[in-house]
Order: sequence, then C-alpha cells, then structure tokens
Amino acid sequence: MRGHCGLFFESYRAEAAVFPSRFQRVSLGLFAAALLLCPLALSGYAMSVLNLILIAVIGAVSLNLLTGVCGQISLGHGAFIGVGAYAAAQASLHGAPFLAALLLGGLAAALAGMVFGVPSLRLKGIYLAIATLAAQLILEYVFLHWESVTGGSRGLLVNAPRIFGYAFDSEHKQFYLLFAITSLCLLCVTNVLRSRHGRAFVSIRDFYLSAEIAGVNLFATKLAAFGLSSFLAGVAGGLWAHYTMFVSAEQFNIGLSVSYLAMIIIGGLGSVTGSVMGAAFMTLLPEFLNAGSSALSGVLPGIGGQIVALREGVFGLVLVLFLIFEPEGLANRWRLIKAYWKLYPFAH
Amino acid sequence: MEYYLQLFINGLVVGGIYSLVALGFVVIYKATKVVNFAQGEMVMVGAYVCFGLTVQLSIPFVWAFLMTLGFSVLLGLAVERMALRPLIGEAHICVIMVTIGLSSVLKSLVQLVWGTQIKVYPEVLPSTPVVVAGLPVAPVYIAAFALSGLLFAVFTLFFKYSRMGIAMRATAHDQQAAQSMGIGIRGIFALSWCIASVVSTVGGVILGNINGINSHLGVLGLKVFPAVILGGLDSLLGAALGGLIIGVLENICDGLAKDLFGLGGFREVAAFVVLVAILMVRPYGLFGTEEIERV
Amino acid sequence: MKRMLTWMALALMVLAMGGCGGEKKDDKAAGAAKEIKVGGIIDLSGPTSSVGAPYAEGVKAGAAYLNSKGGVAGMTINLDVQDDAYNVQQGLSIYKKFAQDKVVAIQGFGTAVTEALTRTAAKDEIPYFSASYSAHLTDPKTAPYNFFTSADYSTQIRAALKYFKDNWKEQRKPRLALLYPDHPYGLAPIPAAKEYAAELGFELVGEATVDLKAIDATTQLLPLKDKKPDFVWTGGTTPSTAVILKDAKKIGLKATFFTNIWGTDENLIKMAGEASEGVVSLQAAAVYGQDVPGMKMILEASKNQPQMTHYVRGFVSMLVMGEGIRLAAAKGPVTGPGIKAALETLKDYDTQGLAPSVSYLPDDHRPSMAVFLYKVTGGKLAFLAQETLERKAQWLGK
Repeated sequence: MRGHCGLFFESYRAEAAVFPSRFQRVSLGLFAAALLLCPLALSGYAMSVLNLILIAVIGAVSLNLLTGVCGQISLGHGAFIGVGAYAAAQASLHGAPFLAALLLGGLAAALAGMVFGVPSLRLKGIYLAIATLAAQLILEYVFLHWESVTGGSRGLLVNAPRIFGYAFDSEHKQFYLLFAITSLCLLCVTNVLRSRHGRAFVSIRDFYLSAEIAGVNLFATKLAAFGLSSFLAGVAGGLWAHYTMFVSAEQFNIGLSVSYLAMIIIGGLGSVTGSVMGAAFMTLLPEFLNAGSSALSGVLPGIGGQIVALREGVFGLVLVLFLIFEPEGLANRWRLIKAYWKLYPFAH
Repeated sequence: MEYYLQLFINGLVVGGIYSLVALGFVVIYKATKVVNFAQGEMVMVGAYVCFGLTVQLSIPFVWAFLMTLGFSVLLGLAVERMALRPLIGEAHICVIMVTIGLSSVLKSLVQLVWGTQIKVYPEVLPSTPVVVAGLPVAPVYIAAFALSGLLFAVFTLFFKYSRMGIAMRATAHDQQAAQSMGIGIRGIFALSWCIASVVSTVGGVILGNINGINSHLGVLGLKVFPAVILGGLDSLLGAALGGLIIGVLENICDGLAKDLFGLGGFREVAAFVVLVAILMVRPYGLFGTEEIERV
Repeated sequence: MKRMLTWMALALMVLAMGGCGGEKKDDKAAGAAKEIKVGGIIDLSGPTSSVGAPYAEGVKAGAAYLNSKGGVAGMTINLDVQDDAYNVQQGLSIYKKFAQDKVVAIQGFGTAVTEALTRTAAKDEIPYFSASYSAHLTDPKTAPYNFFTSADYSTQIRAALKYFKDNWKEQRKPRLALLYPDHPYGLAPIPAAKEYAAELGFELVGEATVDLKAIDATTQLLPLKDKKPDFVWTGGTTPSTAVILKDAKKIGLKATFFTNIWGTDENLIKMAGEASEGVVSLQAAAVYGQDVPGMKMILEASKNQPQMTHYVRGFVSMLVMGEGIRLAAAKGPVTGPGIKAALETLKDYDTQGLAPSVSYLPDDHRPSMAVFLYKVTGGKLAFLAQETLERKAQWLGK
C-alpha cells in the first residue's frame, strides 16, 4: 500500500534504494533537467563557476569518503589531486584519449594514496593527520623536482579534452562533460556507502575495535578507503588539468587541502549531499564576497577593497562560525528544513 | 667532518626557536587534548603587537614587551572562550578545523591593522656574533636557546609540583574524574591557552628580531609540527628535544642530500620524511605516552 | 521559525541597501563607448603582497596619469584592479570575468597566475602584461600574447655577469656562487646563468638553495666561505636576501652580492641594515627621486610621497600599454589583437629615463636588452651603470 503517510517498504531491495519515494525521484529529475538547461541561459562566467563547483564536488566527495565516512583525517588531499592532474596531463600529452588519461590519473593517485596510507596501519587520529600532512609536503617537493615528469618549475601545458574527435573547448561544452562525470562519481560513492564496504568504513570510524572483532580487516579496509578516495581525487585532478589547461606545482598546496576539508566540514561529514552543498558553498563564497563588497561599497565606500583582500580571513571566520553554530554542516540544516516542512504545522 | 659539526651546532641553534614554539603546542595539548594549528599565527600576532607598541607608539621595549604579554593573555582567553569552548566534546576533526580557521582569521586581522608591508624590528640585542666551536652565532639565537631552556625548566616544575600544574594534567587525562574531584575545567582550559599565548609571544618577539615581521611568519607553525609529533604531543621534554632534533636533522639531511643525491632544497621536507619513518616505529613519538587500548 | 524569519528579513534589507548602493555603477556603463576597459589581476594580499601592493599602486597611478593627460587617443582608460592573492583558481575566475566584460588588455602580476593564463589569454586574444619576468614568456611561439616591460630574469643575470667581467681587473678567473630558492621563480634563470658564466670565463665555485621563507642561511653559506667567491648571486626575494646578507656578514663571507629586481628594494636596506652595503641590484626602472626627466610624472602622480621601485615599474608598465593602445587606436577600433600588433611595432619607446627603452618584435617579446645596475651605498640605492646586451636570437626564451 503506497499511501501519503510515509514510506512503506515491502522488500529489502526497495529499502536500499537511493531515492525511495516518488517525490524524491521527481524532484531530482527536475533539478537535473534544470541544470542541463542552464548553459542556454547563463553567461560564460557563470558557467565557469558551475564548472569549478562540479570539479570541487568530486574532490569533496572523495575526501568525505576518507575523512567523513572512514574517519581517517587526511591533510594531503590537495597533493593527491595534484598527482592525478600530472598523471592525466602526461598521459594526454603522450597521446592517450581523454577518458583513458583520466583513468590513468585516477590510478596514479590511488597508488600514491595507498602508499601514503600505509602509516594508517600504526597511526591513529592526529598522528595520522600529520603523516598525511607529510605526504602533502613530500609530494609538493616531488612535483617541483621531478622535472622529467612534471615539468618542474615550468609546469605542463595541456589541451582541452577531446572525446572521439569532439573537442570540449568552451565553458558550455565542458559543463556537460563535467556534469556527466560528476554524476557518475556521486553515484559511485553512494553505491559504495550502500554496500558492505561502506558499512565497513563506517564501522572503522565508529568503533574500530569492535569492527576488528566483527571480522573487518582494519588495514585492508583503511587502505581501500585511501585508495578509492585518492582515485576519485585523481579523477578530479585530471578534470582540473584539462579544464585549466595548465598544471603547475604551486596549484596543489596545503591551502587546497585545507579548503577541501573546509568544504566537507561545512557541508557535513559523512554525507554525499553534504559534500555537494559544501563544495558549492566554498566555491561560491568568493562570489558572495565580491557581490557583498560591491553592495556595501554603495553604503561604506572603501570597505569593498578591504573585504576582498581579507578573503582568507572571511573564509576562516565562516569556517569557525559554522563549527560553532552548525557543526554537523549544511546537510544537517537541510535535513531539518525538510523535516520542518514535512511536518508543518506539527512540531514533531 | 667539521662541516657536519658546524651543521650540527647551527641546527641546535635554530632548533632553539622551534622548541620555543613547540612548547606552546604541548602546553595546550597537555591540558586540553587540542592540537592548535594556529600556533604559528599566535606567534605572529605577538610579534606584531610588540612591534606596534615599540615602534608605532614609541614605548620603551621592556614596557612594550610586558604589555604584549598582557595582551597575549587576553588573546588566549578570548580564543578559548569564543572558539574552543563551544566545541568541547566534538570530534577531533572539528577542533582541528576550528584552529585552522582561527589561523586564517588572525592572519587577516593582522593584515587589516598593519597592512602587508614587511616591518622591521628595532635592534634589541647586540648584533656581534658569538663564536661557538668555530661557528659564529648571532646573540638572538643564543637568547632563543636560553629562553626555551628556561621556559622548559619552569614548565616542567610547574606541571610536576604545583597544584595548578597537577590539576591541568589531571584534566588532560580524564575530564570527568577531574571535575568530580572539584577542579574547575573552564579555568584550566583558559589558563592553558593563556600560557601558550604568552610562550608564543616570546617566540614571536625573538623571531621578529631575526628577520623582521610580515604576515607570513605563521608558516613556522607548520614547520614545528614534526618537532612536536616527534617528541610526543604531550611531553614537554619531547617538545624541547624535538625542536632541537628537527633543527639538526634539517641541516644534516640537507647537507647529505646535496652531497649524496644532488637534490637541492631537501631541508624543507627532510623533517617530514624522517618523521614518517620514526612514526612507523614509534607511533606516539619518541617521548609521548602510549595510549593503551583495552577492549 | 521566528528566528528564521528575522534572519531572512535582515538579509533582504541588506540586499535592498546594496541594490540602492549598487546603482552608482550603472552610470559608468553609459560612457562605455568612450572608454577602454583594462583589467588588473595583481596580488594585493597573499605571500607576494608586500611587493604587489606598491606595483598595483604604480599601475593605477599610470592609468590615472594617462587619463589626466586627456586619455589615450581621446578615450579614458577604465582600469579595474582585482586581487588574486597568488591563488591560481582565483586568478582564473577573475580572468574569466574580465574576458566576459570584454577587456582589451590585462595588467597581471605573479608567476603562478601568469603562467596558468598564458594559453587562455592567447586563445581569447587579450594582451597580458605581467610582473613575472620569466624568459620563456618572451617567446611568442609559446606565449604570443604575453608582454612585460622589464628585461627578463635571464637577461638580468647575464647583464650583471657581463658588467662584472668587464670591470674585472685581476688576472685570475672571477669566482661565482649561486644562491637561489627551490621555487619556479628561483630556478628559472639558473641554467642561463651557468651557461653564460662559463662563456665569459667565470669559475663556478658553489651553489645552494635558500628557501624564500628561510630564517637562517648559515649552513648554506659556510661551505661557500672556504671557496672565497668574488660574486654571489642571491636569487630570492627581499626577506631571504636579508637573511643571506646578515648571515654572510656574521660569518665573515666577503663578496659582492647581486640580486635581481625582487631581491632588493627599499625594504632590504631596512631589514639588513649595514649588511646590505655594497649589494648590487638589477633594476628595470628608476629609483624614486632619481634625476631623470620622467621622474616629474612620478612625483606628480604620487604627490611627492616616496614610493618603492615596484611603483615606478608598475607606472612604466601602464605607460607602455597605453602606448600600445594609442598605436592600435590610430589603425581602427581598439581590440586585443590590434594592441598586440601595435605593441610589436614598438621601437625604442622612450619612457623619459624611467626605464630602458622598450621595443617588441613580432617574433621576440623581449622589451629591452638593457638593465640598470644599482649599488646600495650609504643606505640608499645609487645608480651604478646601464648594461646593454646584444639581442641574440639564441637567448630568446631561455
């Protein structure tokens, strides 16, 4: 019986569905349709912001898989994205087709991730975080010095992505490509979370001793988390390389890792929706700042320039405020808003 | 060989500064189990405030220094009350991110008030170098070394013998038990942040004397991490020794990398490479307390 | 619920205020026909802000000066300087906004963003001026739309080496040591330096890396002291140069230190004090207050407030861009490719002594093979000589 009083499942399969209710499926369909029609209405600049959001979503969701779901704090995400970017760029420059280059980038990053995930065998908590920080700095050093592969200080110039001869060289065309790949990655992560591997990740985060007793191979699972998260990070890196058409060592520094961590914290640890919201929020923050400063400059002239220069401070302030007032992130706030409307006018 | 001896001594000397900053880290961790990613920025704020008082308001250095210490106490209190207290009980990652956010905020505040230009400190210590085992050493570094030794001694005695120190260690060990014994947790947290702030200010003034101050002094905080982790996050002796070891390690590895592998600039990552290697053998650092897990 | 409503009301109020405040900008659009849009992507905050901010002031002053003299070909220059904080992603988004607003040229600054935008600016055909003087940006084959107004880093170091060799009086070979940061900016001119030094007959006695953020360089300088170099190249920025100079003085390493444009400025003298005496600095613009005809423009623009060398250089950069726009306007509507073509016909453009004369060629974007050399004497930068090299084709892009 499918009434209007809630969800009533008659099989395990139905319960495990990603979007159980018809309302959810319809809304998602409408949202996707709206997004696909965006390029017809929006300017090149707005499309570039959307493209950056899409790339950030992949990076954020991969970090959320490692830190939010599996509980391994990673400060080296920027470097793994860099590994993917360099590998994909090199593959492209050697003539590999775009999708193959992307996969190679992902695999290279996964390998790097698993190598630097080995300390997770012995380290926990903050010590593991520092080991990943070490990974970040060591990889940055390698980017700068392994000239034959990374071009050292000159960086690498990459061409726009081509699939079967069709070049994605404008913002609007790139949007469709990025939208497709991002949706695929989100689907992948959602499915991992639904599977027994995802449950193993969560168990390690919550009670790793009990997980070990229940039969989860801690080291293998942690390595798998590092590997999968880095694979997706590598894909994000490859897309970034082909989008900006230039890869250099300075782009993948600790600031990038911190901004991805901020994305998942603001979005909500452990949730895919959270990653999307966090990525969108962090990418749109500079835009809000610019809009805010030009709006305020009508009222308080001179403050406009200051606000933009203090972009980093505003980012830090937003992060601190979110952590104090909404530690579970935007996903939690969204959930509460939905619940409010679902139950209106009742309180609970 | 003499070259390596000189590297060693220079490493000890520079490591003195790392130890000074590392002490601040460890004090906070020992009392509150919070890893403070904003330590470098607190060093920077201390340096800037002292600069502002000395140069811009022309207050004699000694008074300016004391006033800066007072300011840093207030800064520690403010940070603890506004940013850390609401996060008691939250996951590790949240507290880490708050301190990271705090570091960005502090950096921007400094830029807002003092601008982005490099500022130069007035010379407080004489500049003629002192010769140690054939290596000329600037007096500033001797001062740093002496100060970190002094602070280390003071804090070891404080934590071991004074009531307040024991109360802080008890809080770090088990907050609930400490509370049930009548220890005011909030006061302990505030005190630990104040102490760390004061230590950072001292470090900042020393650092400012070495090469002027700019808003990127805070990157030192990142460099000090290997020192702190190597020594063990909750060990004062570890922090002091860790700073010295990392200073020496950087120099020697840099020399070795150049002679053996022809790699330039290795000193920046040397500390981290060695850190990872040592952590694999001793997961809690050289002197940290090992957490024994019981099922 | 009440709280949510209060927040929403507050937000709407702020937006309404902004709407009222923002209307001022629409007036500018009316005059769009008579103005030339130039974008500025300069580091006003971030690691290079201590030199980026004065440079930006210089660029703005240059635009203001041109506008005060009736604009360029009767049109006012509408310069919009945005801050990229040395962050590539931010620089890219600012660029995309400029491209959408159809700017005809861009005043850039830092290496990271300039390199990232090389291809995109070429594709969008927008001339990109930078304060990053890497040699490979002078080769139109790889960077067709990049320009800058100072001799590139490799030419600078070659000029210094030639000057030293020409003034070397002793019989033996002069000894050279190289200190540079492990960073794209520092590594760039080193191969050129080594090649030319060998060609001129220098003996390379040592090299070492000193990080841009180093607080101590003693360990790198100690082995050099035994080798007794005559000339030491310090390729960092002012903070690391100050550290090197102070440590060299401390251990008693006596040599002539020479730096490039970013290694010496008024700040270095403040930071290194006595240790900076005798340092030779390569510059591409006159020092504030120097007795050259063009200094009148600078004094007027800066209202007699002393400015750094970066200010003068930014001013010069804007003047050269203005000249390019003027030449392009004479041939028709001002567009990006038009400005590029016009710039490539520039021959010995005289900035009245503020900088060596600028010439670009269609296959060679090196602005000048002349470099000013200054020596720090008595706490000030004193003009030493102008060294001019041959415009050799084999040096292009290296």
